Amino acid sequence: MDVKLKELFARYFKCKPSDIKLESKLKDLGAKEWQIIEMAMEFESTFNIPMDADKALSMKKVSDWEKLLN
Amino acid sequence: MKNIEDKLEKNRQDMVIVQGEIKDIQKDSNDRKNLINTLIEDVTNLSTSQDMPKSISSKREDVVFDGILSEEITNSLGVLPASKLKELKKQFTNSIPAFPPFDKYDIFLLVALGGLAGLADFLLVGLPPKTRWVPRNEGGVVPVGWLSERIKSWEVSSDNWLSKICKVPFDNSTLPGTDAGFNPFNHRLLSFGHDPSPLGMIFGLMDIMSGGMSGATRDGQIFHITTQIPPEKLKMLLAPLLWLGHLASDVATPMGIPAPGWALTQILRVPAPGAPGEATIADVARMMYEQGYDFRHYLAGAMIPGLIEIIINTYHFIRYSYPHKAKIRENVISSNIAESYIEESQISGHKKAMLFWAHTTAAAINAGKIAIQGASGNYFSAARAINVSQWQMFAVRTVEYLVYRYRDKSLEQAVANRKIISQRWDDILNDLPYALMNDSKTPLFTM
Repeated sequence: MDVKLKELFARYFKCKPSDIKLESKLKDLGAKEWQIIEMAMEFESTFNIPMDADKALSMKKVSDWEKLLN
Repeated sequence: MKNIEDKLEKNRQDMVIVQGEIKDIQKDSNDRKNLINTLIEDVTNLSTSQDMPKSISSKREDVVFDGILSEEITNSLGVLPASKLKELKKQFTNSIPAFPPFDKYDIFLLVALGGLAGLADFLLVGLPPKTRWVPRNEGGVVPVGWLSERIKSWEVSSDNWLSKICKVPFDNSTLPGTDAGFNPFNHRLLSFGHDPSPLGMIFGLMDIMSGGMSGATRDGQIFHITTQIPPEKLKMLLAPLLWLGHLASDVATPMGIPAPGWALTQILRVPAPGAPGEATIADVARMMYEQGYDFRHYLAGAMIPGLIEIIINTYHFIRYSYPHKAKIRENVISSNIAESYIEESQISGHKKAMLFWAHTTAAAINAGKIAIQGASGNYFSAARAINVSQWQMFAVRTVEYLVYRYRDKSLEQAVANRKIISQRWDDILNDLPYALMNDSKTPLFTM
């Protein structure tokens, strides 16, 4: 899993990087809707992949985000 | 003939006697008047006196204060019960209302303004146009404001000609290698120099002159870092213009610049009431900006308190201030400085009351808009329904209202009570002839 992505999740959802697995659901990591939207902003600027609120909220698992990087 | 002359002579003698008695009554009245004033002064002193006795005894209808008032005063006053003294004191202190009353035209204007403010808030201001960070299924019934949409429809690229001329060191959109949380969508909120307020100007000038960048991280930590743009002497001289020019270059970009003072919200790490997921006030304010609540929407909302101020000030000037000044110019008002001061103070108080109630109505309507949007949509959409400029003006006018409400009214009370006392003495003197009626029930003379 991409290290930067893991750090992003950990910073925005206030969880430990070790708890973040590919199969983890964002809800189980404690992510709230507004935190996902904010995280998507930094995701776009970090990885240069266009995002918006609806697209961000449609991706429920960590693996969904990882797929965008590949 | 002799009988008529005798009767005339007798009447003249009676007149002399009556005139003498009138003089005695007037003298007696003046003495009583002085004694009542002394008594009121003594009662006032009593109420503030530290040595006030715990018990006040009264027998029959006489007032006897245990050794406080002299027997001469209480005897001279005759019948004056304690309850009457209390009533007199109440009349004395309540002779001036807190605010001059509104008439029907004032009330009509306030009600009309309230209605118009409500319509404008819902239709013209509404919600800010959505950015791509607003979910489509957010819900809510309050529409995007027509005025806000019109203002934000004028959009320029972030890379415009003015931004190339007015380059500033606090414009980094990301801070790689840090946990600051900067990205192109929030960096103008997190850097203090972008705030269109005196605070923003101070930090902006400081950053331009030092070649640094001041701000707050996404977690609320204040920082100052040096940047790649070193300070130059020319830039220092032109710093205010550079700052203004840079803000002007950013204001019409898709994200715009934050509302005045919004940068300060980023240090408020206090849980926002009712916010989901333990969001703080800083988080809510940041989401508001990221979802479209920028300086342009703030200006659209400022239209409502601005119009209220213009309309009420104009109305008040035409109806009250100008006629009062005209009377002074024509010397219609007496040269009594105290009365002139009091009238000006009351006109000012009347205007303060009108402004307070108008802004209270507009703020209450905005509270309703927030509640409606919150009930039908989500929390952050309700937050975007707040008309920040309206609440700011409401706060200012509330403070002014309260300061006037609890002003020192001693001078006004003294003048008003003097007028009441003078009027009552006139009434007594007018009634005097009838008090001395002879058996035929007609007054012996007229004043």
